[in-house]
Amino acid sequence: MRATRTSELERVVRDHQAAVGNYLRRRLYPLTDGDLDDLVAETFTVVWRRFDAMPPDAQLPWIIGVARNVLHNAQRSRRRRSAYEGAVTPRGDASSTEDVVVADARVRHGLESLGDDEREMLLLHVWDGLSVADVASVLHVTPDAAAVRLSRARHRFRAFYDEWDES
Amino acid sequence: MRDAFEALAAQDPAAVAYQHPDPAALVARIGADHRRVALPGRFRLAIAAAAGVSGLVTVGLVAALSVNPALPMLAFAPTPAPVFAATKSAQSPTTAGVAMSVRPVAGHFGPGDSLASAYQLMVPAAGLDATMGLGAALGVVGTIGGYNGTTFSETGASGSRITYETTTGIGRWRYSAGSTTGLSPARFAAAIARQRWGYTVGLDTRTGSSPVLVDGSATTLRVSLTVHDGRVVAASGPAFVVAAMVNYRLRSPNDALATTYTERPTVATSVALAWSPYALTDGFVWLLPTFVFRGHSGARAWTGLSLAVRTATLTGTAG
Repeated sequence: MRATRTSELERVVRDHQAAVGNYLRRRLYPLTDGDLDDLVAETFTVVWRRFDAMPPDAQLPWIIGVARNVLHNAQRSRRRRSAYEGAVTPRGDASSTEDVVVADARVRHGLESLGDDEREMLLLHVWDGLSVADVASVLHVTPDAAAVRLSRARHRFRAFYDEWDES
Repeated sequence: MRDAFEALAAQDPAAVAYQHPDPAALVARIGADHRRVALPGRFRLAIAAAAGVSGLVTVGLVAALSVNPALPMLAFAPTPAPVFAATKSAQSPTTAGVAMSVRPVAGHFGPGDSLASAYQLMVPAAGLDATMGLGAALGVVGTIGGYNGTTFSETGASGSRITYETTTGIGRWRYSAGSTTGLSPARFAAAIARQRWGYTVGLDTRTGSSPVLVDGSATTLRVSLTVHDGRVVAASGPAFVVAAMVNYRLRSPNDALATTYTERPTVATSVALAWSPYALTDGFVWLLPTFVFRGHSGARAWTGLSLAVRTATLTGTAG
């Protein structure tokens, strides 16, 4: 029985570690790449602890939801320290969502037009490749609500992207 | 003209798919962590440091400091003897501590007793040699591969594996026994002691992690072990040498607490000293003295970490 569960854990890690690692890497800021492996491990530790609660037909969005909570907790802890320790924060240390997106000011302008929830929905859909139903599962909203809000986010992002003045 | 969503997709920070450096070690760690709450990297280290790291220095009750900012003098407590002393080996008797590689820097010393050392850390040179040396010590001898500019790996018989990364300013090594039976904790400790790194560590015989000591002082860097049936089957830890040492005057713990945790509904009841790695703005990594506070926030236990020196006094480089 135990061996079965362990092999099931190995399968879950094998199948989903890349998606979890990518999800976390896209949103690491203000953490660094050096924290990434630990965040992945922490995510799957929580998954393992709550293994029986994982829906068999929607494992990835459920695991992404766990990763999201793990990341938020770590970011909160980091930010509590950063106010004083800003002077010793590594400079140019690691890629972050902000650092990378700012490379294209037009994309950044579009993202800045969105609220936090809308931006998260759009990025889950475009960057993480989740379906509307999976986005709804991650954010604990109904699929209908997710569809409406995602449509609104896409519309607003495109509008602000298109209005960007290259000059 | 490129579509808005094509442009957004092109900005994906994870264009190269994530791959954990050692999935087998990851699974082993998850199983080992099943009964305890793990936190990522630096955060876990902070809590663990406050939970009883050997060599910590207790300096008094912060509650008392809040009404009396005069600090008691720091007094170093003796470090408890580790189960395995990974400080010396017959092959390399000079690897104990960091005395061979410390370069004291003049001009930073001042009068008074409230001084603490900071240590500049550097990744040991020659990653390939480091990988092969660690591999030989741990019985992993085989194919060197997977080099991508920052990570070396060596895969031995039956899937045993060493990886050595140099991506974060401090090198990091990982060991996985693969399908071998692994190593006895004593042999593992001896192998680590032979690496001529700038730290010593006392390792347990059970799954868990132990703080590394630099110049005899406890740090928040740790060596983690996964032990199965009395054998070390996975492990990881830092790799660095100490390039320089600077003494800084400690600031008041009360001041540190007040400036770091401005929103705290928190009561700190004790403070200890540990050393944590920071990358300064010039890119160099230093182990800096850090206050580890313990207390409570409402009914919940609370642990906080704050630099024990004023950032304005940090020189960035040691010259």
